[in-house]
Amino acid sequence: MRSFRKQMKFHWIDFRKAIYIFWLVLILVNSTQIVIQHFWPGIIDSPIDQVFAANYSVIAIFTLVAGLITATQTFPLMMSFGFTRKQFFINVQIISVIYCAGMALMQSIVVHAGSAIIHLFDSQLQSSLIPFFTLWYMQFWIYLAISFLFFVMGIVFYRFGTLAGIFVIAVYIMLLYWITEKPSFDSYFNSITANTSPTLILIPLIITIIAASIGWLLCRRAAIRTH
Amino acid sequence: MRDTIDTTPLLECRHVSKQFSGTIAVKEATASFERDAIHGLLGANGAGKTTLLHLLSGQIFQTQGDILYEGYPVHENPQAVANICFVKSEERSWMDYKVKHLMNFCSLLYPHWDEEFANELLRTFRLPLGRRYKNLSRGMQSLVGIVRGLASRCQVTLFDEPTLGLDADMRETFYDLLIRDFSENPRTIILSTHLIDESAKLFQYITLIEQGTITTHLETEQFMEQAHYLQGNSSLLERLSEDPHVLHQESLAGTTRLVWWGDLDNREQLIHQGIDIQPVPLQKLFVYLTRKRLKSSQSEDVI
Repeated sequence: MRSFRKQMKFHWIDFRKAIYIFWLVLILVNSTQIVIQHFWPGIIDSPIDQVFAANYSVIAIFTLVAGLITATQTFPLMMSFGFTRKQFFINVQIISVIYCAGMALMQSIVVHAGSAIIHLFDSQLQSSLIPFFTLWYMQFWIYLAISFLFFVMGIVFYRFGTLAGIFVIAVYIMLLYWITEKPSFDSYFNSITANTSPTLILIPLIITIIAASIGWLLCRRAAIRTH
Repeated sequence: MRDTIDTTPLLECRHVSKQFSGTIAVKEATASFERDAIHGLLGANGAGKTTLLHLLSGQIFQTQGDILYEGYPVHENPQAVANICFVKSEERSWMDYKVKHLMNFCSLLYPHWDEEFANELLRTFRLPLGRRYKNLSRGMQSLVGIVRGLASRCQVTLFDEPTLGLDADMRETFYDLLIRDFSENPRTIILSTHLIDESAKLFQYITLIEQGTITTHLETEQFMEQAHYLQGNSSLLERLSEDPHVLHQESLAGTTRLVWWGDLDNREQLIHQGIDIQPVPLQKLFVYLTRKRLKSSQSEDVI
């Protein structure tokens, strides 16, 4: 039997290059922004502590892509090495948790370390810093929800083809539009970003559970493409 | 030589059918693949060989029937799928990976991976480790699959057209390595190929698949013993030409040659009459059988 350690090592070899490059570029961009804003403040018209704000979206997009790739590439790859669908799915769950925890941790480190560097430059942060653990915790659940939502999309693309996948995209866009149009969404989003209540993470948790369940139902009977 | 030989089948398919959007790719396929033997899976283009191999490996689900590994269903059976290595003619999921990473994956994920043997094969085939799979030539892609198939040491190894793109020298190298490795590490190998004459020496069993159905599954010798060339005077042989056992007939300058499929009850009489009886090469036999059956099914369609 394959050891758990070897399976995790397989995933690490599979993803490490992309993750290294991603963080290298992101940290480089953040560093450049901090330097530019400190020495040439007129060039970028936003407060210095907003340097890291875009990172969340970038990480979310990276996570989205990782979810799609896991379904469309890692699935047939692992099946080619003699995994059952159940083994693959358990791997996906474990890897997604580790990945999202790792990405959240990195971003939390970047934010806190970056803020400390900004202080060194005698710049003032306009908004207060969210505590490290809370920042990690909020991000973790949101990234995990995104990861599983796009894993579901990826499996639909792989199993049912392009049209079905596009239908899922349309459903996601419609749901997003419907949710963001609701008046309660603004207050929810502001609360979650301002950290007024960590229990608001219940919603991403529920989304994760639903997406993971749907992902398993789609994955358990997915056939590997023969041509 | 082993004192006792376990002849129970390791892998079986029982009345297996597979339908893709209205097309029946495999129909009522039934065969028991004897353990520790090399099986040749032969069939015309589109006969269902690749689909059958996908079914046997658990990568796709059958529409009906059972696929069993040591008596248990293959699908979602961790022991079964971990012991079945399916080497496809092209691995689309490997495209963006370098050869060295693929070998790394193999060493991590195949419990019985033979690293030393894999390295020997990589050197023999002169595969560039730093090149991505998609940037390899067709032949080199086949060789990567062969390395995986041979070095995995899986109990069941399925090869789907493993010699695609290989030159004659490399094909012979593969056959020699396969025989050598099989004699040292016996396992169940099912190999589909169009190059029948070249690979005939490998096969202990022949499985013939035609239009999705397994029509024959026999020991190679037993299979070939059923076919004969009968060559002699046209006046003597032409009376046999309408016999349903005749697969093929050709005549030239008073001499007729028939391909006879089945028992030859009057063998001695034919020899006495000056008819020359010879075995039919496997590839030729496969062609004659395929054409005969195609002709029969076309006649049935007309009726």
